[in-house]
Amino acid sequence: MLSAIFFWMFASAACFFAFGVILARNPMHSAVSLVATLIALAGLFLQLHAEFLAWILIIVYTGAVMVLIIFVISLLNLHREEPINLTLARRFGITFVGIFGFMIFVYLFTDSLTGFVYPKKLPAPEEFGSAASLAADLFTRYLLPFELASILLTAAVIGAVVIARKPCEEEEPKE
Amino acid sequence: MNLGELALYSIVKIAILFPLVMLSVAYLTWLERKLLGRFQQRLGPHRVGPFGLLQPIADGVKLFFKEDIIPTNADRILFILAPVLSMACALMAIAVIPFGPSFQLFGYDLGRVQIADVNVGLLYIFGITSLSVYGVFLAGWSSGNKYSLLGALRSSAQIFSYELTLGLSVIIPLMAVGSLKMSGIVDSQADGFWNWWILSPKWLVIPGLLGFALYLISAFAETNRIPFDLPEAETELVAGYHLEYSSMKFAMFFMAEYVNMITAASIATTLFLGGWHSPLPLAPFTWFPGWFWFAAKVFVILFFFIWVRATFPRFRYDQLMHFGWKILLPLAMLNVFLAAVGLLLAG
Repeated sequence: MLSAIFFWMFASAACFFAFGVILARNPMHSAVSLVATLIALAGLFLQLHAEFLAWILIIVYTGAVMVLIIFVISLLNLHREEPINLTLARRFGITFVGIFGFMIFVYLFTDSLTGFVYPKKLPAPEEFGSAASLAADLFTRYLLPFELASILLTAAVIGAVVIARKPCEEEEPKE
Repeated sequence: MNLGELALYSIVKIAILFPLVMLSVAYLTWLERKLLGRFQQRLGPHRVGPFGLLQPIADGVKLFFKEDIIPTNADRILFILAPVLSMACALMAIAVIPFGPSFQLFGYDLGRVQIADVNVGLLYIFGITSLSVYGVFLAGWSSGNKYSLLGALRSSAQIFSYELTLGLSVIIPLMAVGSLKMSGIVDSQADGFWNWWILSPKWLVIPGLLGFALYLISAFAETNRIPFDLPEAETELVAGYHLEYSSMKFAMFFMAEYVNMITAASIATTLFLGGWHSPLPLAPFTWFPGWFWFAAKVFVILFFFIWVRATFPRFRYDQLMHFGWKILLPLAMLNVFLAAVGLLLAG
């Protein structure tokens, strides 16, 4: 009963703010809505006993990624989005993509079409979602994907530094 | 304990702890002004009540009756939301701090003086503190004032930079106890000060001390205290992010800063200074209740906060960034390495 109340609270909040992200005219309001959406999602994670994941979501996404996005928005001084003038062809294309995406969504999640069976709700094991059990999985069973992801991230960081750094000294005019 | 009892006990604990925290905030401002006065060879507040003890209440009443102004250029929703966010984040972190051992009320055993012992307590605290940047940032942005915006930009960059060090500095208790639960970390430090994580056994003493120092330094930055109070540097930015705020909205930022100070001191006490355990397991020390030792340790750290404010000048912005990224962060990473090696050697 109580968990149902919390589920609907977080789920409706997530949907409400997700609409806020795309409907808000002001980019800052969009960004703040995204923060609220992420917090609501973390609330849903908590309900699934994934406490570690929930707080990592908050620390990494709302605490770091979104702060940077908001930083950029305020530096670019975007106050109000200009209304976009779309050509008829583009409007048609966007509508088509939207309908197609929605149909894929329906196809995937309707069991009458695909025979997709929702997994039965099992009681979570005692240690599920804790830092220790997550680490045990991450560093044994999923070690290779984990290390590959970290190499990818390192490559991305190096790439960002290369793009952002000042031009080499040889290219600067000599005094 | 069923869910209803848990909810009831939590409400009772909140009803006890919330007024206590707010009272501590009020008298922390008094303590700060009094101590600063003494450090600077003057009296500090002494007119309202004996020793100026009624000064915080007079200030609160004054702020309450001030006119509440919202500037024309402000973004109304975010302008109102920002102080609420600041205050909420500051108070939420209190929830997982263990203030004392089990206690009884009217014959009912209410468990520890801790509102919620979540099993990712430490992560919870870092999550909440990482949200506190939004209060400051949105306040500065929504004010529609360039000084406020500059203060907000500085603060987010600063909090962002020092959060990494803050997170890495607490690695010793985390690795040695193997749990993110606050209660587990406190329990591991019972029976005397040599068990506290600041003086960790054998090879761990260097990472223990270094971790504590790193934690304190980054806590100064996280709470926007001198020497890291650039977001509100009054000589450069008038008042920084809360320039346009008045009345209770300003008071909420003010209170949030002091709640954050208390939280930072409480976390340092819990992780490094043995929480509510007495320094020696001997008779005269064990007569005092757990909350007394907790309060005493928190007081020492808060005194240090105020002492530093009276002693050091403010950093320059580039010095702040240089110090955070090129000195503190490598030190914090070295500390993680030392802690791991130390734990391995200690077995």
